[in-house]
Amino acid sequence: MDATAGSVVWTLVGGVVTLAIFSFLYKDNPLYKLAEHVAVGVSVGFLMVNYYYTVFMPKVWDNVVHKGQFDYLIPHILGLLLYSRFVPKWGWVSRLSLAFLLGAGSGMSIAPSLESRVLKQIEGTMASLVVWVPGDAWGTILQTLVSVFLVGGTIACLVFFLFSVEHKGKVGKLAYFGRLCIMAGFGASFGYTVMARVSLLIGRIQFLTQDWWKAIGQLFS
Amino acid sequence: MKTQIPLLICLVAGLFMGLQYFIPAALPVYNRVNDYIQVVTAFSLVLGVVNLIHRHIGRMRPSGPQRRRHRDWPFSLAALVGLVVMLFAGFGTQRGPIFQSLFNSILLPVQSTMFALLAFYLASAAFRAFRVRSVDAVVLLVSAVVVMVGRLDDGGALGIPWLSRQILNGPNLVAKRAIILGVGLGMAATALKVVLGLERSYLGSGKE
Amino acid sequence: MTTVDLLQRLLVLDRRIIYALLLVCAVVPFYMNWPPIKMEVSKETQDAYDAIDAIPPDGNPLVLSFDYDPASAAELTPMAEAVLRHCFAKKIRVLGISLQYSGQGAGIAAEVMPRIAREFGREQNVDWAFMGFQPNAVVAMLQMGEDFKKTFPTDYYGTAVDKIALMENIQNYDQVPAVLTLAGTAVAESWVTYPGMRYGVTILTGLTAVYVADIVPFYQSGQIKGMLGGLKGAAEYEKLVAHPGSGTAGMRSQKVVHYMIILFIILGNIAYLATRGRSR
Repeated sequence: MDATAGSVVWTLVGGVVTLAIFSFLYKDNPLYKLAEHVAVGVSVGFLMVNYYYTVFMPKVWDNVVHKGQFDYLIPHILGLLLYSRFVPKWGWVSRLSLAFLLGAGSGMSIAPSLESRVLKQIEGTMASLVVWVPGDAWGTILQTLVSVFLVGGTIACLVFFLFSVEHKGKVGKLAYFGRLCIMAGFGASFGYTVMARVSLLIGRIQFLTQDWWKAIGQLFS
Repeated sequence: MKTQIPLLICLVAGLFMGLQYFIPAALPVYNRVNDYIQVVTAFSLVLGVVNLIHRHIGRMRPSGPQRRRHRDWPFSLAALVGLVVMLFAGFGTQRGPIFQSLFNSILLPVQSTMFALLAFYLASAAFRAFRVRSVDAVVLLVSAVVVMVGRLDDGGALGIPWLSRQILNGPNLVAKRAIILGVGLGMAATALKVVLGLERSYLGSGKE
Repeated sequence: MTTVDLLQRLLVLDRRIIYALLLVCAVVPFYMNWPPIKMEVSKETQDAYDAIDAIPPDGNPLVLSFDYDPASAAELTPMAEAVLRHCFAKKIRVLGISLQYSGQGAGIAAEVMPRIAREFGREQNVDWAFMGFQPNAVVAMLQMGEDFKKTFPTDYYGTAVDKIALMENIQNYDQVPAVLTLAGTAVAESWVTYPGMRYGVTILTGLTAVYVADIVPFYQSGQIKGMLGGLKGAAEYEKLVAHPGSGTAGMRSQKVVHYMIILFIILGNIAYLATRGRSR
């Protein structure tokens, strides 16, 4: 089988499994389940092979066996301890590895989280309230309004999430404004989500109507 | 011992990784710890794989009082066949063309199509569930519709593309920023609780 | 049958009819070249393009991180193709990596990168390289800040990093003009939070549309220098590189389906409001 014939066959297979998954729209059926399960097996195999070549060999095997960096046995032992979960009596030993992963991961996240998600975001909000656009009065007014809205809107949204103060009177009005902003934000997210999901469908339709259709034509010619 | 040693490891690892940002001399140890995390994470990935294989083999074995197989056992067999074929293709050809083709022609279409199904469910949900029952819902709906129209076609009428950008960079931005601020503070607080041993859910119930 | 009866029946319409209508709306535009689409390049896309365009030819590479799996491929692969075409046409070097946790981003990159490189006759390991995937995205990002070669001791194809000419001068992010992460998950935020903060590396993002609204604050605060959003972002980039691809082709369908969904929402609400009194 030459390369072209091979690629036609693979394209045909891709089309068949695509249709098998789409068949779920009618109802759950064995064809769908078969495609789904085969894909699960393939995905696990893909991970294992890639893991072996890009992680195990260069980072695990080479470091210990070829470079003699025996301290790398520590993470190996910790890694192996994770498998103690399969032996109920020794299951607790896996906590040592988990504690290392969680402790190190948590520790390294504290400062960047505060810097990126808190300080930088506050910095982004606290820009100059009056924005001067040279030679453009309308632009100046608009940009200034945007700046004021950024500060006021962010405070209003934060007030909405502040439950230690009762949302009554002026606080209540501010919180309500924040709530409307949040709703508009969720609306935008919904709009984008629709866009994303439709894009995925379009991707599959492009494949079926172009590549797959062409492959069928090649099969019969 | 079953609790104290993990808590101690968590504390030491957490404090070191938290403080190394401020101690340049700790860089070599920091690099080593990062390497260690990578290796342990790699083992944890395989843990998931082992779990999955274990589950599918379990479904193929006769069990229960009537010694019956799980009714979906043929599909479990299919999953294991898929796995074995992929392993042969991967190791046999050192990730050659067959390995890549199996990825391109099975994994990629199946996963893509699974998520493409969501477009259908979304359309159905839009028809059945998206109701304007309150002012909040109206704001949400209007915002969604404006973004759906405005982000798509810059030739859209009534200044909708402009309005769409204003929603994205105005109300959406302030709402998401408030959430990011909250999440940032929450993440830092939770991480600190984990390091200090105040958050111990990862230790499980302690009965095993 | 009264109008209200009709609307009530509409409310219990079989879902398969909705599915069929959606399918027709998505398929027909491919065959009719309709409806027309007017597309302008957004500021976010232009910023990303300018940042990549400013990278000197045959110099230090753009790091292109394939941080997505097949579920997001329909939106992000057109972006990857457009960006690679831009780079290869301008002789900008590209260093591909993947930090998507299941390694499937590597499978996508291993198909896309060689294919586009062949179009432009760019040489592997000299003009472009693909280093494969590493688990634990955050740690890998931080490791690259100290030592790229230690993070990726071999490339995806098993070649030792010392034998890859492109990697000769790459020690850490100091030699990387920009990182473009193509992501369908929070990995993009991790790029901003960890290497973005610690090493000050220029972060550009190519995101699935789902994630765009959430990441806008990072773009506004300057933590992200440029952003491609969804299929539209891909189509805009394709316009900039004057090579219409699958992003542009899909926009007509997208438009028809969006209007159909909006029509569904309106119809559903009319039916709901008209029959509300009766159901009470």
